[in-house]
Amino acid sequence: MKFNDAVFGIFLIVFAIAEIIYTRTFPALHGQRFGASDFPVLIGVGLIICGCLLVVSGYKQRTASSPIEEAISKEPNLLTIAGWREKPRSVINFFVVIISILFYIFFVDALGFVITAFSILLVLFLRLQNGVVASFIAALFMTGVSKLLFGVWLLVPLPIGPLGF
Amino acid sequence: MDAFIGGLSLIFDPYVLMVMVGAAAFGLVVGSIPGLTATMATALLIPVTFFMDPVPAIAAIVTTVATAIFAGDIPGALLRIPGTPASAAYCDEAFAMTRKGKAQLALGVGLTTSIIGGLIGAVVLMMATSALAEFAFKFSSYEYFWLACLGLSSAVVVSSGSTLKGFVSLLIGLFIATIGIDLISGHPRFTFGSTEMLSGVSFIPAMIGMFAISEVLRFVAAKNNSRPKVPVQSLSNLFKGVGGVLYKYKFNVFRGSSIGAVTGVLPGAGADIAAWVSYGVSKRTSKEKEKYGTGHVEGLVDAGSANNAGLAGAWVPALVFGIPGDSVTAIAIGVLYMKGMNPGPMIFQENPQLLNAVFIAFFVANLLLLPLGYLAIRLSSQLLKIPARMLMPAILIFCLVGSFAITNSVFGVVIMLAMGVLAYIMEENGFPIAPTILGIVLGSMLEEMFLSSMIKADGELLAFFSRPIAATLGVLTILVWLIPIIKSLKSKYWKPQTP
Repeated sequence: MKFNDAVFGIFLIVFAIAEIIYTRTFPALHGQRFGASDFPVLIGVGLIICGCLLVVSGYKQRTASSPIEEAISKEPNLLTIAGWREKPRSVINFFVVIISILFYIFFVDALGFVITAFSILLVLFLRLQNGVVASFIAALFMTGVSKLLFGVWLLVPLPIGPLGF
Repeated sequence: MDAFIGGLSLIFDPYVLMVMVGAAAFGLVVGSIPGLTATMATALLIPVTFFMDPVPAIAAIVTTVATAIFAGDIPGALLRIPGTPASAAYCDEAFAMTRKGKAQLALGVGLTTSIIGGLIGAVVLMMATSALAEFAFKFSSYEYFWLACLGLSSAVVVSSGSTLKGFVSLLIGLFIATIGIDLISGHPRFTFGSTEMLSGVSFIPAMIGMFAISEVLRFVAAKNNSRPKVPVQSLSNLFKGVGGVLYKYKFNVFRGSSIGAVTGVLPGAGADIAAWVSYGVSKRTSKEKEKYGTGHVEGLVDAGSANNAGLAGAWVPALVFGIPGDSVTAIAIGVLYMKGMNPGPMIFQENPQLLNAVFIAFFVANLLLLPLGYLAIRLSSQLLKIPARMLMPAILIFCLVGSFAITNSVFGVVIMLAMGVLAYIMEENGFPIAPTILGIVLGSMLEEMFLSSMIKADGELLAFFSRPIAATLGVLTILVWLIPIIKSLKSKYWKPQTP
């Protein structure tokens, strides 16, 4: 998933302007000209400069003159997903990982660590083309190891679900 | 001397030694699996070290990295896939030796030079930190401001890829460091009413996201994840012929280690750059240049010792000034801060035992490498058969539970996910992530030094150059900023004449 540099440049410029405007609401130190806003403003200015240079570099990429570069510049435009398009399985796997993490964030308190971790592991092992039995055993094993290591040995208060684990 | 004995007793504690052996085994496994880097090993280890005392925590980090960097040589030599980026410089050379049936010699030389390089690096670390600490006591906020700027700027300039993207990456890191309550004014910044954001972006979940989650995402999004074929060669008599090679190239061992240690000291330049520089120097000065690339052991001797020496070198600026030399020391500094032990010259007076314990940990870690590295090579055919598709879900669950453990809430997991996706998008588009890490670690120190200098100078920018060391560091920093501009102008207006 590759973006043209100009996309990053424009995003950085917009982000930096918003950041600077918001930062100006921070108060100065008592009796001083300086305060909490100075450093973030400097970062914002730096981002705007870099953003402008990225826009220029992105523009150059699109107006490339050599035939090869032209061919490339016609294809990527603002977003290139060439590598992904060839293999939809990879795209699904990518989003399965993201959704697994979101599932953990939203459901671990309600379901408890053991059920949540086991479900995520089982789905991922299966998605990555491991056998059903191997996936089940590996998911069970890894859930046990992480529960023992963090929950029992390191005393991390891992959430306990409705079944008591 | 008392401090040294204190350091010895801290390291030679059965618990610490046990932690080091465990960390060594972990480092060897992670390092020998292609795609899992030494930095990722450290990121996965820190949730566990979070619950330890400072000495075992630091000893575990030192050991894991030292062993992982060596272990990167194993798939490099056997499969032509460097296990960690630090082995990339001489991976082709080592694989060419394997094709000639000399895998045993390549790995034997890799192991012994790694140990020698690591030990020489540890000596350099001991000597350089003591010498520089006296110097560091003279520093005021101006010097620290410029030193942090110099470190961060050098990290950007030496990072792979575009310098412009390196600067963007650094600014992103510095911005992330401003999130949370401002320690000087007490004003919350960019928290948008969230109480959990008041303490800022938690460092460990951020590291786990940037180094481990991004790697998991890259793996599952990759097109080809087939299992590599391990060549069948005897690895039973690993040290056969190594003595002769080391005797013949004794100067190379010393030169590689020295280049490695010095390169490591430079902010931003870690073990991988040390290996590239050392291999390049070796090739340029060799009497048998034509043999390079055909399975010649000389380059391996130089670069193999350089990357492990570079690890210790990177700790010099970290311990003396609190400015990390690479991503791993950035993580280690973060761990030290969390333990309430701020690195910098004061640590030499306040906690000399800890400092000596770090030095001794380097020696012990490199000595542990001898038996455990030998074992790892003997088991390499089994280790390399571990399919990554079985490992990645396990890594993901460790990331989830590790991030959760730091904040005891899912907020850590939210940070991990956000930083993981950010790092993935950045790397996919050619933005290096090491400057972001350094920005996150050094951001608050840089801001504090900047603000206190501005208040002292009453806004007069020339005051930043009013002291000799500050002026020197300031000029050096500006020169580093000018390098990319000069390079770009040179490539635009200066065309080499073709005959």
